[in-house]
Amino acid sequence: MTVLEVKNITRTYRKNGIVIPALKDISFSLEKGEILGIVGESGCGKSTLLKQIAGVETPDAGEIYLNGAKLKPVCRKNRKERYRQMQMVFQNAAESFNPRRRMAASMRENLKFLSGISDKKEQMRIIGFYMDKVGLKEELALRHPGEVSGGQCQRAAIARAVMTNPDLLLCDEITSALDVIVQDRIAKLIRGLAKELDIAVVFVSHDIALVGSLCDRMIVMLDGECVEQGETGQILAAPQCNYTKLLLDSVLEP
Amino acid sequence: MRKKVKRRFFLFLALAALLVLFAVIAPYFAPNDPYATNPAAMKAAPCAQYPFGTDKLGRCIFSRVLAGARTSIFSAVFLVAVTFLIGTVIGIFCGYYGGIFDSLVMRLADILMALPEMVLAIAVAGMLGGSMWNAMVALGFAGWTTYARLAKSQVLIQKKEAYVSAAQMGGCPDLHIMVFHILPNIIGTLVVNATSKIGSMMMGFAGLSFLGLGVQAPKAEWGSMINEARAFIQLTPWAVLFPGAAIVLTVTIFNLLGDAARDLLDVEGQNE
Amino acid sequence: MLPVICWMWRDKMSDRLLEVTDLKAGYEDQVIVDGVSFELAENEVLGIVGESGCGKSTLLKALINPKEYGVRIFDGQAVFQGRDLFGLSDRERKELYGKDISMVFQNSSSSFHPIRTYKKQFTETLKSHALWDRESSIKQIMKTLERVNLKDRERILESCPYELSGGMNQRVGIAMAILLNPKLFLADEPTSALDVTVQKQIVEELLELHHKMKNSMILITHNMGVAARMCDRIAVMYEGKIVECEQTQILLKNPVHPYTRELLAAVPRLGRWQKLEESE
Repeated sequence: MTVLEVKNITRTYRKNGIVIPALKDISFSLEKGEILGIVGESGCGKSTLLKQIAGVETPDAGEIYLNGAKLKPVCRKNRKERYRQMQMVFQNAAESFNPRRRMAASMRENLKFLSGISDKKEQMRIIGFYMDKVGLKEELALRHPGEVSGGQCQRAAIARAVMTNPDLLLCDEITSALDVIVQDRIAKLIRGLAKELDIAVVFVSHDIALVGSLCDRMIVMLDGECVEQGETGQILAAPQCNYTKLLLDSVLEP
Repeated sequence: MRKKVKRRFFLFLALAALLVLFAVIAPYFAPNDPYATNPAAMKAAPCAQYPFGTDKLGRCIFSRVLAGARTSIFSAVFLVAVTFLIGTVIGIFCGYYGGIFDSLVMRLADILMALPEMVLAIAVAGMLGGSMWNAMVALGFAGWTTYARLAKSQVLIQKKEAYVSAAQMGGCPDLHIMVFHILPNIIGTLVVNATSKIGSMMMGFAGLSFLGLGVQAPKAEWGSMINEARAFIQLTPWAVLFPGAAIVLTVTIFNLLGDAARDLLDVEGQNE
Repeated sequence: MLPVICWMWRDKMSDRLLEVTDLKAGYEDQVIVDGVSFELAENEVLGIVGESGCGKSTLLKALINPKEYGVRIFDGQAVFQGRDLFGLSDRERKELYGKDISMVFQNSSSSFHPIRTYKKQFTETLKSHALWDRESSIKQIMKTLERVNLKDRERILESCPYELSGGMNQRVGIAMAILLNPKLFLADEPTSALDVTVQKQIVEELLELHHKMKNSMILITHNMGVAARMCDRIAVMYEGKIVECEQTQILLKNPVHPYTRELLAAVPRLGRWQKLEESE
């Protein structure tokens, strides 16, 4: 079942009279339980693309379909419906939690507003269930984001994102700020959750080796354009585009 | 370093609290009735019966200073509190939503801020007539604008943070985000700003009363006391000096409190 | 726990350029670097690899200028060409650093004045080491910029840091560091802030520089791939201690310490695209 369909997305920024094309005619689709990697260097537009899908920005041209329904700009009315179907995990997990509140408070908010669960006991039960799923002890959720490590915070953020049962999960460089051992574990966690909970995942990263080892399909972006797209194995084995070859060559493996 | 800053803050907080407490209980400690005139002891120098001397009508200045404490301090604190609330709420809405509302409000604030604060206050008080409440309205008329501007700029900064996006994606209604997410993270800066405004509000009050536009005779208020006595400053300097000293002392304590609070916030911000 | 001592290669020249013995350093009461010992020969590249919090940055700060960074030296020694680094006077330290020992950081542009041209800053460096000569110094600077593969050198000299890209700024930072032909070159995550394609270029250029200048290098990084490409020996740091220190090829093929193994296993590899299962 197609969860996400992106058609001819174009986005241009205008700054001081200069026109900067950030996204040029991007199209792709994503099925349930599938992990799509978007890889590119800084300035290629991968984060901008996520912003269009997440509804933080509106594309200048093109359409996005979520579960078959065309997405309109986010407003007060459609916000809840939209975010019931999709969630996002950010690069800096600690910053994605309110620094002055416990992480569980943010999770309970999500459950209350998106899943309609107001009973505290029920909320805590669900939080406990998903904290366990991401490999954390339940009481860690009762801490502030500054009191836990980067990896633990990111796991908590992932738990918060999946506990409202979204169909689509957007991951914006979620491991870039983490150490390599923690990165490996988080990548495996995402993979496991995607397959178990049947969630479609868009995984944005600058690390083609990480994307290569995690994702089913891959998009390579350069200067706002999609220069190569396809099954991960195929692209890694036989890259068509010169830029993809350059990216693959740049990987330094021990 | 942090301990020193914290200690300073609590020191001035204690002093300010003492001041407010003093304002409440002071009138009960007045040795004489602040409003009782004594034709026999007009313009008397400080002595045993009248520790600060008497004014031109023979009223005990010490008692009047104590009585005036309540008026002066409370009106300033009350005014700051009210303008702070109004200004902050407006500022938060402007910052969060932007748009036409924001543009209109900010232009209005610009106009009000373009006029010198005291001149505007004098004009408004002149129109409304002299009384404590009218003086408050006069000073508060443009007073809310600084809080609104500061709140708006703080909100704009917080709006860009990831946790606000995350809260929006959590389905939180806008008001919920403004109150429970953004406000707790900006309230520190806003309150510090307000604390340092108490001093200038007191000065504003004293100024208006001095010009006869604030509290009216015979009500005891430090500024109006100075006004009444300034014609006789060479004969009875104590009638001007003591209320003046009271203003200076109070304003200094509140200003230093505001400074200490700001330093504490800076230091805590560094440690984060 | 006994510190792990690294043995020198017999192939390389036997002069010990830098010798660190039992170094314990940290901030205030906390010991971060907990008994670190290693040696660096001439013409050798040593990599110090570890994750965040392992103490590698503190180690570097201790070697450069503990006072400036607030690092306390609890115990141990660091000897550079027979000189005790912790016993230097301020004047001696100023003479030594920049000339015999130099460094480049993760974000080079932040170690430069943001709104002064590079030309002024290079001139300043030369003047502070009393090596400024009106005729030959500009040529020397240009030659150094050429060495780091920078084209358009006049324009770059007249630019300020904010006007150039990350890669270019990093190259200028390296140029500044090698300007005075240092014997020891310290690099703290020199490529971590760069895009992968630029990173590969800088890594190759640094290697080339090392071969040409025949200096020694300590490379601090969390990236095993970069360390594998550049270093003759790798020291793996974990919780303030060096848990394994070995010649690169040997370490990569047969890691002994469990942490080293875990580190190597976690590096994402291109060949491993088959679906990974949640293994926990």
